[in-house]
Amino acid sequence: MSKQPTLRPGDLVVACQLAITPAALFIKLAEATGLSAGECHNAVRRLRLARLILADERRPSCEILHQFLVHGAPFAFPAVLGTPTIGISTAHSSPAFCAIVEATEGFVWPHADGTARGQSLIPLFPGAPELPGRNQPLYELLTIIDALRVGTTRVRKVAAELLAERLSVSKA
Amino acid sequence: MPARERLGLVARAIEPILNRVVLAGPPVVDLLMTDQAVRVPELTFAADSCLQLLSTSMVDRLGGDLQKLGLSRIGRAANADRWRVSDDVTIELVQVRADDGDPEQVWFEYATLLTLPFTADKGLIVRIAGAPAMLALEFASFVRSGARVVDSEELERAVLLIAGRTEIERECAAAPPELRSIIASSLARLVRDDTLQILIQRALPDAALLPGLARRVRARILRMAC
Repeated sequence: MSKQPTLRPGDLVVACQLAITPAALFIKLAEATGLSAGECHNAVRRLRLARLILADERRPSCEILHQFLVHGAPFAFPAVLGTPTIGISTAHSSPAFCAIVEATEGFVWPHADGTARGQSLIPLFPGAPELPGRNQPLYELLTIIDALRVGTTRVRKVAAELLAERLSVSKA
Repeated sequence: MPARERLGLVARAIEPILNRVVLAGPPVVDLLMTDQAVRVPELTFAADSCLQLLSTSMVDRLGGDLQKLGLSRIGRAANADRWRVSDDVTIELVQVRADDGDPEQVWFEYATLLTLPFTADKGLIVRIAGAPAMLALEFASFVRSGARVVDSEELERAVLLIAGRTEIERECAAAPPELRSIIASSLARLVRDDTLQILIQRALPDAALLPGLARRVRARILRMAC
């Protein structure tokens, strides 16, 4: 290997789906995420190199994945914000946060079929706006990651706790 | 329920004793913001359903008055009682004791002395902790929490207050020496921290798109740190 390998945003999507359905076949991963089987295969390879997925099992080390998503992902995949528009709710305005946070303004993944209005935030991968209704657990995990990327400190704390619950990470 | 609506509900419920309590805690930061250009998303957390009220009166004596007003006590601690106002709102009544021996009580005492009036609902005036006292309380809470600067909610609220209240430099300059000292020393430490830029961007989302806004906030913090 002559080039420094790097993670891509779609790799986080695959890691999250593997946290939801450990040891899933590539074809099932592709159906669940909307990525191709080939992209899923390459994502798993990169995630293994990064040690976010166990070497001998196709599932993430949830503790390490949690640490990376909370402390690393906001810097490795910085949020790109745009103008207010319609789209799919994300970050603290998503259903994952509805019992904990109420917001007058939120963030959306721009989408013509979206029903929410807010500041636009480019999703980690282009297929994200198709997830609600098709793969609700993955959609909510990605919105939690978005909250870690764009939220205030307080929102980030809530997001980290929600993520720990979803990834079944034990509290210290 | 938005924070101001909660405050209105509480003010109506405890109107006879409003002049004996002072509102403190995170919701006060939002009430102190006066700069219209500094806009932050209004977020209401479920945990904010409990409003913190400070008083120099005895908690037991106030408790008797609250019972007469139809409120019910739902929790008791050493110098604080929790009372249920409605299904969505509770109040934490904290007794401020200057002679407690707890060094942090001095900031609570200043919060009850240096107050501002806030119109909560149809002429009901609630006293809220002033900006210098709020800054001191946030800095003391940060030190007690042991959190890192970049993970501190308290420091983020302090930065938001400094950015969003146009009168704050003047108010802090006119504050008692003890308050000036903790504010200046805490801000001096903050200015030396590499993560201040991130704290400003988290507190003020507009600062990410407008570097000039972040520079202005940093310059104000520098002036207040002297």
